Amino acid sequence: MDTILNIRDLSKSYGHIKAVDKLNLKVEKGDIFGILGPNGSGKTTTLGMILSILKADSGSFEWFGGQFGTNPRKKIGAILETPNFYPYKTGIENLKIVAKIKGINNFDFDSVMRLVNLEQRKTSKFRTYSLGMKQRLAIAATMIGNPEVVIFDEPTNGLDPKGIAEVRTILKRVSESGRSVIMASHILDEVEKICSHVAIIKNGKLLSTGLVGELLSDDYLVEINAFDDEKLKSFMKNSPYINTIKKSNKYWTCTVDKNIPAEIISKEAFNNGLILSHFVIRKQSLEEEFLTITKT
Amino acid sequence: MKITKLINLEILKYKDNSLVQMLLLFFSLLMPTAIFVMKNMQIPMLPGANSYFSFPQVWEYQAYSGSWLSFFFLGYLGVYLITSEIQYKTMRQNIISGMSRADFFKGKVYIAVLISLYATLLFFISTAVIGLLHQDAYDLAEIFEKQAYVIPRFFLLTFAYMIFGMMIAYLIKKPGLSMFFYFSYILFIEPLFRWWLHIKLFGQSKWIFYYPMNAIEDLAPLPLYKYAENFSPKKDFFVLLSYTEAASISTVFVIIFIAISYYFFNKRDI
Repeated sequence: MDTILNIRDLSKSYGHIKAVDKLNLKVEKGDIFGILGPNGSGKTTTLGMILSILKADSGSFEWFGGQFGTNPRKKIGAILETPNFYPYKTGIENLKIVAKIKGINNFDFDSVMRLVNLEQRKTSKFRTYSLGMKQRLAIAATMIGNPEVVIFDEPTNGLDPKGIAEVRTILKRVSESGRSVIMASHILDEVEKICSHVAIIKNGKLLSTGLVGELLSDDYLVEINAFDDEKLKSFMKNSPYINTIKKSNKYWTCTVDKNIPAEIISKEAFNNGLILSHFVIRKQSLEEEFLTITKT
Repeated sequence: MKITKLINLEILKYKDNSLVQMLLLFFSLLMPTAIFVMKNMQIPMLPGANSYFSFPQVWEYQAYSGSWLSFFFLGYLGVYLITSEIQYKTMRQNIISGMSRADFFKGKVYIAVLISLYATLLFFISTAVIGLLHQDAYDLAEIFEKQAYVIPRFFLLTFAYMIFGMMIAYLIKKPGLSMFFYFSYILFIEPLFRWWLHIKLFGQSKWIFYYPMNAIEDLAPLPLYKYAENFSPKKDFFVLLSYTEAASISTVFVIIFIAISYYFFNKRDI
């Protein structure tokens, strides 16, 4: 496996606030790597440091095993926070500036504009673009020069549902193109759908990392409700098979060990005189796992 | 990145920018015409207005009027070339896209050189034409008589204002505050420092003239000051630095401005 990014004990503080705290992370070639964390957890600061626009206080990082020296960024396409372009220049002119910086000649700008559905607006000035168009132009810019890695920081931030759907479709296409992808987000659904690996950070610290599938708990979820709420509550508290209980609007949600067949719960409830009005078995989603991890 | 690539990149960035276009346009229009305002200044016992346009004086008067234009339009352009990149966050994006900080910095210095060369060329052509139009006979040798170094002095003056403007922008970052500090320092802060604080702390001496903006201004001073020196009854009275002193001190300060700018640009987060 080729390691494309190796982060070792990376730290940065803003005054007394520790934004990133001894972060260790490895991204292998071909990974679609999600960096998950609530707002203020240090995702953007981490990306800023590995892209050399923010100075780390301590620790180190290395791209592509050091084979491209201290400036490997011509092999990387990245958006950090907001799309940053010259407002008085057109979409395609802004892409030409990026290509010039990367030393790319004769690039097919029309193809990337088509990829992000901006071909018809390529000669419009950047300041006339909607937020969704700006974000899509930023994605187009990341593809210039066919980079080995693309980095997206909160790519659907501030977009309306249509914009979110468009960007996610493009992200999926990018992730399926064989490139390595690093995506920072607080939207678990998109990380869950797009990423193969995930790292969860909070307050600058790495809480958990691994395959998206591995990070899911072994417990599965049971949604349960009965006509007698008090009796149901007592039953769940006393049941040896049920691990945790949570009340939501319409039903209770409890976690059950993966080795216990769910029908035992139903049978036990019946034996305790409970008539169930709602009983659904499902796997715990990454969101629930994320909330569990970040609460600890 | 190569020098030509960096310059081409800067031109690509700014060729559609309306503020940059206006600043260069106004400079270009006023450079050959501002001297005509001075023609109307009738000061008793001093050379008549028409002498402004003859060689060799036309170089000095044109350099003086040009120095105000360089300070006002091109020095401020130096501020804008940095603050606009910070404001639009394109400085950040340039680095993310693969440019090294050193190349980004060099690109800005090179474009300042190019603009200063353009300003100097305009100064030379407009002054030569104005002077020749006011000559009875055309003698090309007269164009450069006694004023061979006014052209590099004008280049140094313009470049120094631009580099000073860029340094202010790198340090302060905010567009409005940078502009305010650029103009305030040159027009008020340094004169106050020199003529009040310096004298209060160190007394009056020639060191009062070794401040950066004073040195830059003395590269193209108002020629009337030279007359004041000639007619002064005071022994060792001086108002101006010599051209050699002004050029040396200005060059040292340009190097200092570049060093300070690069240090802070390299050290800080973008």
